[in-house]
Amino acid sequence: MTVESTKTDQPQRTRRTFLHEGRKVFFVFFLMASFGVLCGENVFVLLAQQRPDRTKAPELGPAPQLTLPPIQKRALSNGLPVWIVETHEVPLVQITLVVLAGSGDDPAGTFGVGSLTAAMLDEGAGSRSALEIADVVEFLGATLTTTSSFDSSAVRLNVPVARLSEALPVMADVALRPAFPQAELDRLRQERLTALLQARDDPASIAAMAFARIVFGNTHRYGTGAAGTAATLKAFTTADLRAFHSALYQPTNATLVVAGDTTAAAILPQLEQQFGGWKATAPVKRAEVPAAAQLTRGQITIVDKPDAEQSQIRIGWVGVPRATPDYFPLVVLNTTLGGSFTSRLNQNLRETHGYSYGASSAFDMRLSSGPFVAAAGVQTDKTADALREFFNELNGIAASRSAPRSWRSRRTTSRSASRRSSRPPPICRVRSRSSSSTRCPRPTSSAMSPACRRSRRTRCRRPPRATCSRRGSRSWSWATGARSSRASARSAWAPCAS
Amino acid sequence: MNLRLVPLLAVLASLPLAAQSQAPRALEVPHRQFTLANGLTVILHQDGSVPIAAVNVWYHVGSANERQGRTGLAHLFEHLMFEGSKHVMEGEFDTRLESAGANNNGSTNNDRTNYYIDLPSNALELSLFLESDRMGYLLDTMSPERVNGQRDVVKNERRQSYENRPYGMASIEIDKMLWPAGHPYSWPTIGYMEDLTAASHEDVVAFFKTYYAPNNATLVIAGDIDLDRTQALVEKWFSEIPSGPRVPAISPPPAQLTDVKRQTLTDQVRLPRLYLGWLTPRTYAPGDAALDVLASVLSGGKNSRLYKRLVYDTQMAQDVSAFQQSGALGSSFLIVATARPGHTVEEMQTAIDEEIERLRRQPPDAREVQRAVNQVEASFYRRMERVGGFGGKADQLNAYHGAGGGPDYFAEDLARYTSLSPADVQAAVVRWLPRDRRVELVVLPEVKR
Repeated sequence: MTVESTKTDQPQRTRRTFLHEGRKVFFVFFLMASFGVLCGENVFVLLAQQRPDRTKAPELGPAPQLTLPPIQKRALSNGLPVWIVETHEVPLVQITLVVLAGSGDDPAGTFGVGSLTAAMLDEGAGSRSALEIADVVEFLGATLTTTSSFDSSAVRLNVPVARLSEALPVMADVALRPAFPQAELDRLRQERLTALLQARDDPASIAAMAFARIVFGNTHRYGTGAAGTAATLKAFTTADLRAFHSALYQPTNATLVVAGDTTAAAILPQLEQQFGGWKATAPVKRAEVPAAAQLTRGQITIVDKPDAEQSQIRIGWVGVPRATPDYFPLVVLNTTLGGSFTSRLNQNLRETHGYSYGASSAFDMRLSSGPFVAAAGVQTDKTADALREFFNELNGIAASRSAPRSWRSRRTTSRSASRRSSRPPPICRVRSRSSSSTRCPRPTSSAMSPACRRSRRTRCRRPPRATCSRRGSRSWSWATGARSSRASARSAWAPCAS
Repeated sequence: MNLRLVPLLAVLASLPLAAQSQAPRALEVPHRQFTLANGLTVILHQDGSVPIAAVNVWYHVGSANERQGRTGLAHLFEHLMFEGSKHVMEGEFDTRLESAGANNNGSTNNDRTNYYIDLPSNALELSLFLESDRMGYLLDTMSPERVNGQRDVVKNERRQSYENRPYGMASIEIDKMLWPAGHPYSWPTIGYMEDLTAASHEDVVAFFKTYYAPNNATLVIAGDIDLDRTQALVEKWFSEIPSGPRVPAISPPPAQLTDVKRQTLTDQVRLPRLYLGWLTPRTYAPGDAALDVLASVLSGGKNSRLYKRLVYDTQMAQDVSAFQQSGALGSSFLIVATARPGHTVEEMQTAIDEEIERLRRQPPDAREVQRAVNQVEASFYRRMERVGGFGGKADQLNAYHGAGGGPDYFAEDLARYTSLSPADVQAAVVRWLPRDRRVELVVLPEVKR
C-alpha cells in the first residue's frame, strides 16, 4: 500500500498540513543544507580437557571463499534479456520481470500513475478476473506480486518448481495483458485514499512524507510519495493507466530475472512461449527526474502534538544518485554513521543516552539524487537533547574523517565535554489548525501473515530492519514511506519470528 | 569438564533428493544432536550453500516465567545479554561481530528467548567465545548502571511500539481481556511501564541464576560448518559452564471464557477498529493447525471469506485479518477489522458473525482448504532457503526441539496441515469460536476536543 499526497505549494504550507490536528505526536523536522562533507578432525577431546583461554578473543580465520553461481545471460527471440541463476537447494523458482518504468516517470500532474499502474496489473488480466487470478496463484502455492519504486516496476512470481508451468502464463497475462477494469480501479482508489487518511495517525508516516516534501518541494517528483496525492488519485482513469503501461511496459525496456531450481535449458522454452511474442510498439522514452536543488539553509519544522510519548526526528537533505562516483565511500561512511548497530548515531542515541530504541541514517540512492536522512524516534522529554547528539554526530563525522573512534562512552563512564558541546540550531515552532491533504502508507494489518501476527507478542532487541512480508526483506524508504506490499499480497506463514 | 557425549541422535542419512522436482523433496534437515554434561543440548546442521553459519541459542524462558510486578523482565534481560560479560567489554560483543561481518539479534516472547549470530564461517569460534561468555559469565560485570541503560532503551521501545503507534495499546488490552488475572499471558512481553521502572539489578541477577543456565538452553549451529570441528569447539567453549538449578515450572490458572467480554478504548486514530478474540488450543495441540487454516479461509487472499465480503465486495472495511496466535500454554484466535469512513464496527461485526455462522453450519469447500494448505506447504520450502535470522532453519530447529517434537519436525509439522479436511476446519469453528464466549474490543477515534 503506498499512498500519500501532495497538495501544498510551499514548504510553509506543507508544515501547516502536518500540524493541524496535533495531539499525539511531537514532530521535528530538520533540514541542514551545508554540512560540507557527506560526505578438523578429532581434536575435541584435547580441547575439552582444558579450560579455554578467555583472556583474548579467538582470531578470525581467513575469510571464506564465496563462489557465486554464474549469471547466465540470454535473450528471447524478441530481444527481451533473460538472466538466469541456478540454485538447486530448494524446489522453488523466482521469476522477476523488471520494467524500467517507475514513479520517476509520472508526468507532472499525474503523480501516482506509475504506482497505480503496477498495483492494477493483477486486478484482472488476460481472460481472468482479479478474483480468479488470486485464486489460481494461491492454489498453486505461488506468490505473484506487482511492485513499483521511483526507478522501476516489477512483476514477481515465486512458485514451487513443480507448479511453474501453470503459474507462468498467469504471470505473463498480468505483466503483458492487464485489463485495468473500472470497478477494480475504483476499489483500489478508495483503498489508497483511505490509507492516506490513516497515514495521518502514524507519526513515522507523517514524518517521512513531510520530510520528502520539505526537502524536494511539491513540484519535484521526489517531494511526493510514490502513490501520489488524494487529488491525483481521484482523477485517474483507466485510460491513464493503459497509456502508462503501453508506453513503458515493453520488451525493449525490461529484463527477466530467474533464480532457483531450474536450468537455462528447462526454463528458456517456457519463457519464450510466454514472453517471446511480446512486441515493442514504439520507442521507449523515459522521463528524466531532474536533479533537485540542494537546500541552501538550515531549516527546522516542528509538528506539535501534545501528549505524544515520542518525537519522530528526520534530519537530511538532497543526497546523491545511485550513479555517484562516491557510491562505495558513501556506503562505508553511512555504515559508520548510521547504517549498523555499532554506528555512531545508534551508539550515541540508544546505547550511550538511552533516548531511543534505535537511530539510523541512509542514503536513498535513485536514478536522480534521492534524500539522505538521519532518523530516530526519541522520548519526548529528551527531544532537544537528542537533537544535540544528532548534530554532534553529523558534524563529528564530517570533521574527523575516518579516524578511529574510541568505544562508546556510557553514562556509566564519563563523557568527554567536546562530545556534548555543540548546540542545535534554534527551533522554530510552527503551528497550524488547517487540515488538508493526507499522506503516506501504512501497511494494512491484513498484509501481515499469521506468523508475523504471532510475533506481535515478540519483542526484539533491535528494531526489525525489514518489513515482515513473504518477499523477505523489503526496506523502508524513509523519504517516501514507500512499501510496495499491497493488501492483496498477503501470504501465509511467512517466517518473521517464531 | 565433560567428556561424555551423548551419541548422535539423528542419523546423518543424506537426503534422497528427487532428481526432478515434480515430486516434492522430503523436508528433511539432517542434524547431529548431543548434550554436554552440564545439560546444554546442541544441534548441528550442515548446509554449505554459502560460506555462512548461524549460531542460534534458545533459553527456555519468556515473559510467562515472570511474576506480577516484574513484567517485562525477560525482555529487559535479553537486552542486557548484549552489554558485555566477564571477558567481553561493554560494546565489544557488537563491535567484534560487526567487524567480522556478522550480525546478531535476539527476541523474547511469552515462552522463550532466542539469540542469533549470523556469521561468515571464519568467525565461528569468535561467536562461540562470545556466546559462551555471556552464558557463563554475564553477572561478573553486570551493574545497576547497565540495567538502567537498557531500561531506558526498552521503555523507548515500548513507547515506539505501543503508546505512540496507532491502535498500539489494543493488543495489550486484548490479552488482558482474554486471559484471567494472574495468567502469565495476560501481561505483555514488553512489560508494564511501572514494572520496567521497578526492575532492579537484584532482579536481573536472580533471573540469570534461575533461568540462564546451560541446562535451560539449546544451541543450534547451522550452515557451512564441519560437524566434528564444530562439536569440538562447542565442547571447548561451553563445557566449563556449570549447570543451574532445575527451572521452576509455571502453573498458570485455568483459562476459560464463560461469556462475552466487551470493552471500548479510544485512541488518536481516524477509523474505528474491531477485535474479536477467543481462547484456543496451544501450539501443536489438536485444533491448532485447523485454526491456522481457518484463518486463511477467513482472511488469506482476495477470495477468503471475510476479505472478499468486507473489503472486496461491500468495501465496508479497509482491512481484515484473522490469525491463530499460538503459545505453549494456550493460544488465542483473533479477527481484526478496520472500518472505512462512513461504516461502523457494528456493520463489520454483523458480517463477520454471519460468515462464522456459515462455516459453523457448512464446511468450507475442498478447494478453499486445499488452497490454504498449498500455501502452507510452499511456505515450508521458502523457510528452507536460509539458515540464519529469525525463522531460518537454525531458529526452526530450535523451535521444534523446544516444542518437544525433535529438531527435524518439519515434515511432521507440515503433515498437521496436509491431513486436514474441510470437516476438520468446520469442527474447529464449532468447537473454538463460540459466539457467546469471546472478547469484543472496539477502538474508537477520540472525540475531538
